[in-house]
Amino acid sequence: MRDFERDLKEALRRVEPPAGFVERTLARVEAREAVRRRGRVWQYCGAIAASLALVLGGLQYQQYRRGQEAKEQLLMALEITGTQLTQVQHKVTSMGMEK
Amino acid sequence: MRIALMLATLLCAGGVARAQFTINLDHLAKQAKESVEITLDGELLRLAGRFLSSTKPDEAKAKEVVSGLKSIYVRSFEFDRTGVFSEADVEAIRKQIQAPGWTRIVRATSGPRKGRDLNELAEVYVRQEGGKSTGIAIIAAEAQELTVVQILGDIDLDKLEGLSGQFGIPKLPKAGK
Repeated sequence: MRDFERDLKEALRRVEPPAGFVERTLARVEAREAVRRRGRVWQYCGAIAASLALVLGGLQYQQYRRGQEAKEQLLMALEITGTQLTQVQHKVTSMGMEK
Repeated sequence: MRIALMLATLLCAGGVARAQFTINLDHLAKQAKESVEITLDGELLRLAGRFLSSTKPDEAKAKEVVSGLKSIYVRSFEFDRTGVFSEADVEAIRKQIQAPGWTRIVRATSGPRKGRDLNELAEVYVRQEGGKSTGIAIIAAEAQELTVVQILGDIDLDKLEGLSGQFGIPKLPKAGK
């Protein structure tokens, strides 16, 4: 019984951590935390970049649509102008010209 | 100096505004069976020009013509009956073109034009500044159709002639021939 108690006491004996253990542990935790922080920063950067790309893409598409519409209108305006000039030319040749 | 520049800018802007049609033809648009309303100026015109292809021959020529333009205004209405617009409507449009610098170069009419029975009318106006054409306007009216076109900017008739046969533009007679 005495042996057992002695063994138990020995096993439960308070052991001081080696020198610098706390600092090393804290440094490791800090390093892990820093890696995690860097990861979060990259995640935020990625999200911001994706949002920016989405907004810029949207704006570019909007500009493209506006440009296409403007081009269609321009071509139609030229078409109408051309048709009117042709009709004027026909009228001038077929009708009396006052001036 | 800054105030003088601002005043000059305002005066120029006023000049352009006066040169452009400001007439409201909404009352005719509402009654039209078909209508085309196009107003392209400044930024939109430049944007449209950028979208014209440089490789397609017709668009490339149009691009060249458009590069000097400041604004394009087109109103074209087709009605399902006669008498929707009168000579007074046409006169209101005409009055806007009768500004200094504008000259009527063609006027062709047919049919009774007194009162509301306006039959056929075609007028072409050109604006000249410093020996250069800086505007062209067309008023074309038939019993059930009315079209008003105004193009402002550097209009190079040689370039415009280059568009002959495209976009419905006829072969233009060369001056002095």
